[in-house]
Amino acid sequence: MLTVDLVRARRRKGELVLVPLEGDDRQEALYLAGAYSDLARDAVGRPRAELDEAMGQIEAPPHLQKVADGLRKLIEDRCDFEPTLDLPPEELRREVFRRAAEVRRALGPEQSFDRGAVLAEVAGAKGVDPGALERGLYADLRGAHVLRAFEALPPEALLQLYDDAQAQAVLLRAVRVRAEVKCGAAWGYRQLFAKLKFLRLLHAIEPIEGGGYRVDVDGPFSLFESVTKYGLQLALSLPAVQACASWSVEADVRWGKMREPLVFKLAGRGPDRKLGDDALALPPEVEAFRQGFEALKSAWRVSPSPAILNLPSVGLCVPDLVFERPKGPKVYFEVLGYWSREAVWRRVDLVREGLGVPLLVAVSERLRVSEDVLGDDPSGALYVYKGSLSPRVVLKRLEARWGGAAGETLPLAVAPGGAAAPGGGAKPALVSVVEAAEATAEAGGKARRPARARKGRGKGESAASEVADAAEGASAPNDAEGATKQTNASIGARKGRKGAGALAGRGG
Amino acid sequence: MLSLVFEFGTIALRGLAEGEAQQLPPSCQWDARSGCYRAPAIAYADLVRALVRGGVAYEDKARRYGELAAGARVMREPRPYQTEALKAWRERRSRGVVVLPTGAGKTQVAIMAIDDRRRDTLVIAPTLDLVRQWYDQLKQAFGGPVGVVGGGDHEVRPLTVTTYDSAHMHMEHLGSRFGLVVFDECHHLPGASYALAARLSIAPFRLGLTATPERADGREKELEELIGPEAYRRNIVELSGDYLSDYETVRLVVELSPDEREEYELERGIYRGFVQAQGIFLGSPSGWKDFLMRASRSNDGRRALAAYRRQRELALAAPAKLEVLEQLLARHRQDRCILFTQDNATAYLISRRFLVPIITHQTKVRERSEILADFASGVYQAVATSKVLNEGVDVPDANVAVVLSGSGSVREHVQRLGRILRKKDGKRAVLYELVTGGTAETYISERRREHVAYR
Repeated sequence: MLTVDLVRARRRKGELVLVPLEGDDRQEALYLAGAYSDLARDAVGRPRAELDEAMGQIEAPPHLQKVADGLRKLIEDRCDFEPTLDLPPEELRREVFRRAAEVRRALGPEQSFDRGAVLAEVAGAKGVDPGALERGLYADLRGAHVLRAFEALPPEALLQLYDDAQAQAVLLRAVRVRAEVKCGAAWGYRQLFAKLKFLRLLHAIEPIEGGGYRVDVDGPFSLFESVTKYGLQLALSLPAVQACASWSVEADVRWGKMREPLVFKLAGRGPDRKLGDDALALPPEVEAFRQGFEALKSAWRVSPSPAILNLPSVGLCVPDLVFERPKGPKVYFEVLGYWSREAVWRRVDLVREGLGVPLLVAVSERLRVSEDVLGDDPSGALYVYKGSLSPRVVLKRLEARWGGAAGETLPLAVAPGGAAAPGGGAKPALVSVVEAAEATAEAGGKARRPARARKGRGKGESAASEVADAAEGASAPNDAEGATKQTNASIGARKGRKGAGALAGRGG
Repeated sequence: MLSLVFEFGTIALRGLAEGEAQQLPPSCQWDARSGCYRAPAIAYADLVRALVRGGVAYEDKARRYGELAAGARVMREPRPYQTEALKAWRERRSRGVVVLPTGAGKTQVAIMAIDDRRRDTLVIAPTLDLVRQWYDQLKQAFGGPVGVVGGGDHEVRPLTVTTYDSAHMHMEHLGSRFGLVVFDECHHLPGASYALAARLSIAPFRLGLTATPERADGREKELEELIGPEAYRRNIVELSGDYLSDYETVRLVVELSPDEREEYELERGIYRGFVQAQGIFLGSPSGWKDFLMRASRSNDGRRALAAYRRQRELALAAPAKLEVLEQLLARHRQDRCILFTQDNATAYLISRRFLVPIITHQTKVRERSEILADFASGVYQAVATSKVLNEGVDVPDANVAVVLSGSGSVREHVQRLGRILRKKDGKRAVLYELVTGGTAETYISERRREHVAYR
């Protein structure tokens, strides 16, 4: 990744605009990329300092110095440096320097210090060659690290990487990113939200008219103050946004020494996704299932789902398919497969905490989960399958749970929900899906909390001890508080915390 | 039940729906992104107090710090003002700033505070060298192992020392693990990024230490919110004469060999020629920047910059200096010498050639600590360094400084002299300055000696 100082950008009317690398300059940059790559390739097995020096010998046109530095950085990122630590350097230094100090102190007035003798003596004591000892003395310094491998890239590809890295480096100074994304299939969204979760960023999701979503991304502390603290994470999340079939990004950045607030905009299309080519985007086993289901010629229509089901306090899921039948509810279908048991419990929480739209989750029996976990919860069900997904079994479940009159028990799934949306009722169905989920979250949040309480977290003695510090702070300390009393209190508090921790562990 | 969870520098209140916030302090805000109330971590103590006052049952999963198993093992007899400072701090809910002049024993106040509160404690200091000093002092006072975060180390323990930079980077993970945070030289804290570190910590107890809380930008007011009110201030008039050793400074001029001289003149000619042809006036405030800018714009310019570097290298790291250094090390083989250079490369050259330990920014805290301890106890008679020992570090036993090269900065030179002036009975300090004759270094030397200490 590039650093902020390597970005070539200009300010224009409150906006930050990247300086494009074009024409002769691009040719020159291609030459530089090739030259640096060649040097790195030749330097495998050599220390870092040598590569640095060799690269320093290549002259870049003065106005392209920043480009040259950026390319060097990208190439260095593809280099794998490692110290050669056959002998522990810190230990070697200690022994050599201590012995040298002794020898020097013992010198007579006319004697001179014999460096070679000291090295030979220590090397002899360790049973190594004096040359190896000398080489090993500072083997841990950065410049002495040896280039083990270099992952080469053709110059054109490197320049493409450079262009992308410019945008990414701008985001290092971002306080907030608004992305508009549209994916052909569930996996694009899943990848994006998994990435955001991994980077510990938070998001608010809103559907856009005509398909796709607006995702506002920042970090936990952004609620209180706009901070560039999450810049690195925001920058790291960019590739996941760029993988979406179509995407645009608007970032609030704080630029330059004065941290001037500017807006940075970027848009593009994912590398190999064609919008509307949904069928191709489904994983093969889901596609096979879809075709099998259509062949049943039932009253239910099946299609790839464009929806994100979001319940802010619990999380979100992105179903693969959606089933619809005339005058019935939409039923979302997510295939979890056999990867993660943890993921199943998250879906169960979503349903229990009030997702509010019908969700059928397919889980491989290899995860050893029982369908009874969700029982006859009106809004969700698990389908545990052996081997491959069976269209017949799924159809039976749909009919039993959401066929006939059962659909009417779920008004939330089709009603636009309590929140009045601008523009009235002429919104696409998927808008109502998300709104419904949010409406339920608000309404259901209170009503359904007993589900959590059921897990039976104890109150008890811990509550009192947990507040010890704040309470101590609250009351002015008095001198009567003797040492003995304090010690007892601390022991009590420690025990209390352990107890609470164990309970928390079970609950979570 | 309501539960408090530490999430990356904030506290999430799980189990409350929107609008159910009657008992909460105003710092708690509804966070629609995750469907919960959220407060900055710094509000932890306020929040807990509000919940207790309101009789709200809750489970505290946020607090992840414990209590120290034992207090200080060794405690110096506190001076009266240190005892007063501790008392004043405690009276302000153990949140506040103590202002004491340099040398008055601020570290001792912190050790007393840690001993008093007995909570897992994080000490934040501005530089790695101060981190090293805290590391040594805490280890000595409390006996057990001490963690370090920063400078290549990342080890978190009940007592941990870190820098402001590392605190800014890691507090969102460390913020729940300490009940007491000590901010050393806390006038560094106000300012966007460092201040955030204070906000991302839940520590109910906070101690700020400084001699000079006042800042040019007036932002010292923020200390009250980030740490607490000024709890104690004491000014002591220092009689500097009583604290300094006798010293002398010796300037040794070395000469370039004929070959070196020839190369020096050639390179210097190229560099000066470019400067004159471009009409750059190096004496003006922007002169140097001007040179660098023009040097990057043409091949002649780049050649001139390379020439500048080479002639400078010849003057600052003249081989003859190393020969003189050899003699000085022999002469002072029973003394404690600090060898200062302008750059790291020369410092490593000296370490390799004379087999003396070296301290640079690449040296890890533990090794620095060990080298300085061995230097103090006399195992080593010399330590090489570039700039990292310039300030703030106690090397009381050092009595010889050799400046092989340096900048023209008076401040740097006085600081380097200061390293060997700590008063000790019968000690006489000497500072050698090695200068290459007939080169530009002579002027650099003249500039840095423009101080009363050298007259």
